[in-house]
Amino acid sequence: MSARRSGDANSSSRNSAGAVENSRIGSVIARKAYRAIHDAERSSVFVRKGMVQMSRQWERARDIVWEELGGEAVLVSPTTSKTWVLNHTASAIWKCCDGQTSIDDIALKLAEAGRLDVANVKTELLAFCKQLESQGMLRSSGRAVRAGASFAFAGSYVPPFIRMHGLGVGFRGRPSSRGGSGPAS
Amino acid sequence: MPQTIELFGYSINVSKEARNNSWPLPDAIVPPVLNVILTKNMPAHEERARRYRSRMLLGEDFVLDYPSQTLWFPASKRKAIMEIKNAGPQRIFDRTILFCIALLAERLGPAVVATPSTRHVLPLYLHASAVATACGALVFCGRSTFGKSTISGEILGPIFPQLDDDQVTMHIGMLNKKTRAPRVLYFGRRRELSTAGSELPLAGLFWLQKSAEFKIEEMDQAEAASLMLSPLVNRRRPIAILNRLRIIRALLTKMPCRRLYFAKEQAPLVELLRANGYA
Repeated sequence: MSARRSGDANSSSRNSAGAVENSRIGSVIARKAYRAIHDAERSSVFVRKGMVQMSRQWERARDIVWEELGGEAVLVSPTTSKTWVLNHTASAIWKCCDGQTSIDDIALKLAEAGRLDVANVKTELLAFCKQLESQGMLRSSGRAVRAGASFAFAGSYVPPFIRMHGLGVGFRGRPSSRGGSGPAS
Repeated sequence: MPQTIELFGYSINVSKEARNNSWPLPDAIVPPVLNVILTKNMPAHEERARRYRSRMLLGEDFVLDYPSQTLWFPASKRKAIMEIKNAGPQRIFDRTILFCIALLAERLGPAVVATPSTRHVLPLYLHASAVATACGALVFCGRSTFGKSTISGEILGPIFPQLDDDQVTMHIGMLNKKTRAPRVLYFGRRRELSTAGSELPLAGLFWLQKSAEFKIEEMDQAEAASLMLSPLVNRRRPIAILNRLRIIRALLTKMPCRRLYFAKEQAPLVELLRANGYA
């Protein structure tokens, strides 16, 4: 009796240990699942109509000064003294890089405007955004995607293109009303 | 007692430096656009400008304090004249004042330099040369060694009077305002231009390109603006860059920039300009 009681005690202790272990494993699994979902949300994994789509958002670097002229954009970096000119498509993409508009939405609108394949447009778009990201002009955003992007693209689609110019050199010596610009001393 | 002078529509206070010059300037000094102090102690102000670089600009023969809109200028050069190659004699004082007003508009915003007579006008300085034709002023922009001095001095100078050689100052009408065309300011005194006055309407704006052929080509506004940004005095200030971009955009909206391909020959160049209505 005592043996059985001890066996019972043992088994009950084993059961309770197992229960604790199970609950610990369960909590670990739950934590991992939570983290996976959280990471997925951060990289904008979302489910639409039963399909899972990966999307990214980029946002403009805050130290870049830019202005739109004639449908194109001029970007200037005060820190590096570089200037860039974006063509019509590229400047439309640049304006959409607010950290909340997904690349999917942008690609869809561009493809609709140009009557092109969405996948091809998205490939060009991703390559372009990565190019800007490598130059420090864009950075990945962790913000939530804003549903229904209010992005309208007018005109025909041409692949996005960026040209770089320098700010040149400043005044030769001190700034002067006479000019005298050229290779700075 | 400060003397108020009018220069290209701007009211300027000009005064001699007091013996007990105080620094920082008292808040009571609020100039209409620019407060000019003629000083005999320029080195002291230059030293101060080196120390307070964030608010002051150390220029060639001048020191500008942005927040108080004050310009220190050597009293000895108040009436000094400089010769700009073929552009004739010009007063350094007048050029410096307009240059500083353009810098104030860039750094502090166009509203700072707005006066009742210049309310809808933006000042802009460009790295360019200019000549005067019957249609108005032609402005040639380009980096160093692009041929600005050559085209305005050697090639076109014998036919069209040169206005400026290395830096052109302009007045641009603001966007969405029914104002007159951009005007090129002229600081010299030449007999041929005596009837034109001190401002000529802008007839053509070009970005130079040395070439074997002569032609004029369309140019994108954005590309023209990015090239015309230089030289930028306040190149580290985002708001100054933005202001300058917007002023250039106002210019290009009213007068698009064209790319001018040219060689060192007068006759075909003059013929090209006349055929396109620029002269």
